[in-house]
Amino acid sequence: MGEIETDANRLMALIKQGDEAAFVALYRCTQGKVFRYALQISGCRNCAEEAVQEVYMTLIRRPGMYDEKRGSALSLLYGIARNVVRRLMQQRQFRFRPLDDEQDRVSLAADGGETPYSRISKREQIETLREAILQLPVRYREVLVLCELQEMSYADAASAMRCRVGTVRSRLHRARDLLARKIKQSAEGSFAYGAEGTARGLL
Amino acid sequence: MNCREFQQDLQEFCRNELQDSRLHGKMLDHTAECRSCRDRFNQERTLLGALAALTQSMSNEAAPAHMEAELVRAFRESRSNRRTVPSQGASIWGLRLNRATLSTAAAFLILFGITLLAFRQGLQEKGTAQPDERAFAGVGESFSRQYSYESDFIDLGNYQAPDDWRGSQLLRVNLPRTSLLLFGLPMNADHADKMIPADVLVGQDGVPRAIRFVQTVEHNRTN
Repeated sequence: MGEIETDANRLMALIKQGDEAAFVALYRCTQGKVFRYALQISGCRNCAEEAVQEVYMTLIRRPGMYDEKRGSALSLLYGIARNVVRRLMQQRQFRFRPLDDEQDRVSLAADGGETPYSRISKREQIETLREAILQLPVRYREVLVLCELQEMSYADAASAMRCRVGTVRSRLHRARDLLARKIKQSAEGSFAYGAEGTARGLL
Repeated sequence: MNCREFQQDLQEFCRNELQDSRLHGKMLDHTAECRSCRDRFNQERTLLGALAALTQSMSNEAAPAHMEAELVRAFRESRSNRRTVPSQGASIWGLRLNRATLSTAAAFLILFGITLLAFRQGLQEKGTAQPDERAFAGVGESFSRQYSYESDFIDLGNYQAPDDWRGSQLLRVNLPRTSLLLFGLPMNADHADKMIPADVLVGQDGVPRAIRFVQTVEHNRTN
């Protein structure tokens, strides 16, 4: 268990007793993670801000909701954020911006490296990767973001997603496959788009 | 090592997390022999590198600074609300209180307050006069209305020796007309939403002993 997680667990117990300093400390050490998680899942800064606010307001309203037997404090925060982001995405009928910008394709196609993956080293390619993640189905995107980008353990990710560790493993494996295929397609300039900007064949 | 075995340990191999050095060596040998697995290995490693770069590029992303102040304010408000306004079923002094209990307690306190007020206004009289006489001695004179009684005094069940009226007092209160039904008295349904005056006989100890409902007859006094 990481230092932040240990601190978060300890702080959560103090927040139950109404300790404001503990709340501030918890917010400062975890808000960045929660914000980045929400941003990586939704691709929307407003959603991420709203999610952060909702997560900590939920904690304020129900300070006793943390139960260390059910997982770490970070898992709880990610779990709340996950629900909030899902709700926001449903409410806003979220559609991800497709990679239909000609400049994106040119930059990928003109690079001329040996493999498509070797091109993913510059800023443009990082943006391509970010968008490729956003085009993954939500259940694969969540597990990829939690385990790869947020560097959570499988057990904590399972706690946040309320599923079994085995499910996390299998979804992560599938998510990597899908992502690799998407990047390859992107690099080859062969993305196919649906009418509403959803990558066809990938959802 | 075959390709299937290679795939099973590929993730740990890419992350340099294989504990078994012999297995690590076998994986390396397999990548040298099998072009397909070598490509897969390169893809995975590049993907992991790209994900790490993405993580790094977003490491400074955070919620706006003003949010902390807003949340701290909400935290303080929530905490003060919890302290001052117990919610339904809140615990005070170890007792579980709900709204019904609090309402009953409030009603009791109001009645108690009325009683104390009457004491302080000097309505209590030393002596042995009958309560109904004393009621009008102090109060009735100033009214521009005359009263008749809807009922006799009804015992409320709090025993007091009949000859010990010292310190007792009558309180004139207004009650909903539906209160008549509680004591088995008839009520005109047309006036169900109106109030009816009643005299409450309160003992020296502040406990109500009896009640009498009063009819009002509106007319001006001639003298």
